[in-house]
Amino acid sequence: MYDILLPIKFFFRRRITILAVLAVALCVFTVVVVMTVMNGLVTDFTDKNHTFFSDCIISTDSLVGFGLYDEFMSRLEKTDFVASVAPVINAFGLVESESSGKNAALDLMGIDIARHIKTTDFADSLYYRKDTPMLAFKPVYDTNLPGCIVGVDLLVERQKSGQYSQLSFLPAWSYLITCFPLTPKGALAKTGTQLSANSKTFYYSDNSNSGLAKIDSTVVYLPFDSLQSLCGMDVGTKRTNAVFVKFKKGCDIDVCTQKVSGLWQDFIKEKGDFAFAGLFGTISVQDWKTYRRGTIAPMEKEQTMLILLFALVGLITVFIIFVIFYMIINRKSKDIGILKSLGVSRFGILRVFLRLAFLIGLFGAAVGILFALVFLANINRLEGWLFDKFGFQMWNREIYAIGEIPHRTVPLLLLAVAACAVAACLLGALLPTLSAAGRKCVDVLRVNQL
Amino acid sequence: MLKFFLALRYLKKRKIVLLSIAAVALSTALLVTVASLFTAFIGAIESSSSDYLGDIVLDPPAEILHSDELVARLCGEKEIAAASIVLSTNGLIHFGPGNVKAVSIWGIDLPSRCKVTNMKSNLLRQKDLPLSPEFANDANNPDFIGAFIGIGLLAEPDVKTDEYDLTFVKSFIGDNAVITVGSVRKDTQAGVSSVGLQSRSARIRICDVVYTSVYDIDKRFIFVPIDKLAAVLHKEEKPADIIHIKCAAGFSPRQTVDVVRRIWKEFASEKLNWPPYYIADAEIMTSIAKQSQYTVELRKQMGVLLVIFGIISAGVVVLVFCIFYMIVAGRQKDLAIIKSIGGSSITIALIFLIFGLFIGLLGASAGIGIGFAITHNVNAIERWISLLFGLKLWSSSVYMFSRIPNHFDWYWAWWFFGAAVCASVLGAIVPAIAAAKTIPAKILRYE
Repeated sequence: MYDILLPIKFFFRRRITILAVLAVALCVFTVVVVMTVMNGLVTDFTDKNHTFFSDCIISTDSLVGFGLYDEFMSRLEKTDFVASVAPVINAFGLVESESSGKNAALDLMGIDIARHIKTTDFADSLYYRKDTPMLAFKPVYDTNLPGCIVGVDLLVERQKSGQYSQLSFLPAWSYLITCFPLTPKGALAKTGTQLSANSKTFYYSDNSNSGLAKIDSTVVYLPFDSLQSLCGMDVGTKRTNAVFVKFKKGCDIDVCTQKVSGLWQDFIKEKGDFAFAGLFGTISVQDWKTYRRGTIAPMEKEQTMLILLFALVGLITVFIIFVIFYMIINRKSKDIGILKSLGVSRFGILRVFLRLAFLIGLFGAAVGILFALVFLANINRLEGWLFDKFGFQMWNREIYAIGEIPHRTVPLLLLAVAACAVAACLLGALLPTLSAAGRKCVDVLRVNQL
Repeated sequence: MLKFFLALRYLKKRKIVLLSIAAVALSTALLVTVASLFTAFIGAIESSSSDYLGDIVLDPPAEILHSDELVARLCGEKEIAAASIVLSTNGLIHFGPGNVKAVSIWGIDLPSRCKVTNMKSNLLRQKDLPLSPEFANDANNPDFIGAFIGIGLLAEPDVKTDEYDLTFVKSFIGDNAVITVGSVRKDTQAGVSSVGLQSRSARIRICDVVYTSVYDIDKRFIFVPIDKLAAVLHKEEKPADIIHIKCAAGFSPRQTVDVVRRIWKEFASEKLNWPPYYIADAEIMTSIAKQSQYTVELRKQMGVLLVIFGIISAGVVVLVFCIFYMIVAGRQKDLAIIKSIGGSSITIALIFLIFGLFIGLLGASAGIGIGFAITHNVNAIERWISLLFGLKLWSSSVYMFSRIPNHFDWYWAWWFFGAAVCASVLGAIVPAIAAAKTIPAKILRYE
């Protein structure tokens, strides 16, 4: 019983424990706030990548692409785990505004809108045609004109609040889009001896806000057939350079990606005698996370680095606990002597002080988490107030594609931080506690020590 | 003397003091390293901007003709060492089978550009040649335009080492490619003139590779002679849409901006007949100011990170407080003896304040030493982590530069040094007061 009552008594009676609790609470508060925000940013970014790129991607980096994709898509659609598939062409093009004369070399993405909106959440990214995504490539001012969807950051200005200054009407802007047509061998298609590039005028039909800054500031979406034609991929066997695959609900993405990979391997074996079978060699079948690892990994690494830095700073908390326990144990050496003289074992002494450390860690973590939750619940209001009063924004929304500051806490993160806080307290208390347990009552209680 | 002697003695005899020194050192090292890496990164952005754009950038709202005369007028000022014109456009480049990239194409006047920027040192083939660099023409194919290509357009850096295979990249020199650019076409049919857009293609010959170590530039840019690009774009006379300016030695870009603005106003109204509002629309600013939108954000992030780490590091005050309090509690008799032989309360308090000062000085010095070592060797550390754990922390494609900028920031170092010393002394104040209040009669009485 003493090993339960004593830690509680020490915890409430010793003022110095308040200092330890505060030190732990401060550390926990900071870690929870920073990690929640960081975690939210990373999760938001990965989710946006997932919804933009579907579950699995069959693709090649080569702009030449690969043929027979429609046949393979039909096979995939017949399986029991694939919900939908969509072909995608990724190419580069020169986009010239016919109203301003300005030009830019941009990424072009050819999409089959009917398939694409079933396979990805592309429809949600549209502004004017959000409710009628099937008409996304039909400009409202003249539905007979060939339309193009432009990445939102290429056309629409972002306000400091993070909102886009969308026009209430769709302006009739036109763009001349030029591409290099490539033969299946990758050579530049020529007209006689002249070098030729294919050009076609498209009309602004909508803008897309995927929430992925790099995509929204560099990509122009065109109808799949149009881009296929501009890139010369419609000559002979039609080609594409990616197929997006969405799996049915409840299907494991890794397992299904393996199945698609297997099907693809069977397919290319079967089509070994196809004239351009060589183009299959550069194709990879990847789940969305692997496909986008180049952009997701740096954010995850930064998160890891931040955790490491906090671990370093957290060392100071361990030091504080160590010193406070050293103090408590020095002050309580007589009590320890008396306890030992009454027959309390070394392990008993260890239990008393480690339980005290546990209590400090637990209370510190609870206080820290409580304050962190309150702070996070109000973080966006606080930022809004700082912005109104002092013009301070944590992230300039004109530059960063961030909406509100993430503030939803993950219970697992809270548990992990609380566990780390308790572990840090136990670690800090370990040495002083061991020294306390090792003390002999005859040494502590002899007359010249009193 | 007694104060220093006792403070030194406590410092040497009490092992627990090492803990407070370690905590001070750890906090200082962390803060100094974070601040140094951030400021070095910001500095690298600013300096790469100057290296690439010169000191001042004049960006008119539209293309200007007679640009040679503007350059001559600018160079006639004592504040300006050199000026160089640029004609910029965007386009596509086809290197070979299936290899098409989107590019920014700059038509440049090479001799003046070499004076304004360090272009020559960025050229893989010509940087070590004694002669001035040039766009070598191919005698067999005079129609081919000589071009410098960004290294990132030819190859990707190695995933593990983040370094380019320079031998492989150099093998492209002498190869041909095709570019296509957008051009404004003027038609006159039946007396009615119309303006339309058309794309124009041209063959180029790679005569050198540009490696600036700034990923975004290396990945995106190709350079060709300005007159050749103007011909491809069907431009009349010698047009330019950007002027890069280098200040003369002893003149700061900030001062020189006003000179450039004056000359620009005179030139635009006299030679171009532009209306005042159009002349004022030209953007004239230092190349560093041009990056300010991003550097301000980086500085803000650095500030937030330092505040967060600073708050946690404030635990050092608590730590010093606890340790000193413990020492005071354990040294009550010593203190009482000092007082009984005539030591004043102030002397006693000073012992602990000096003791705190020593801890602060030692800890902060060690922290700055560690911070300096980490910052200075951050590239080696990153390489070591990469080799040991396979974790590549720095990649030029993500963080722009091929090496981690590692300039140690002494300004912040001195600030944190001062803050660490103050924190240590602050932590010592309450124990020092408690020590000063020691009453010898109470402590030294027999029972």
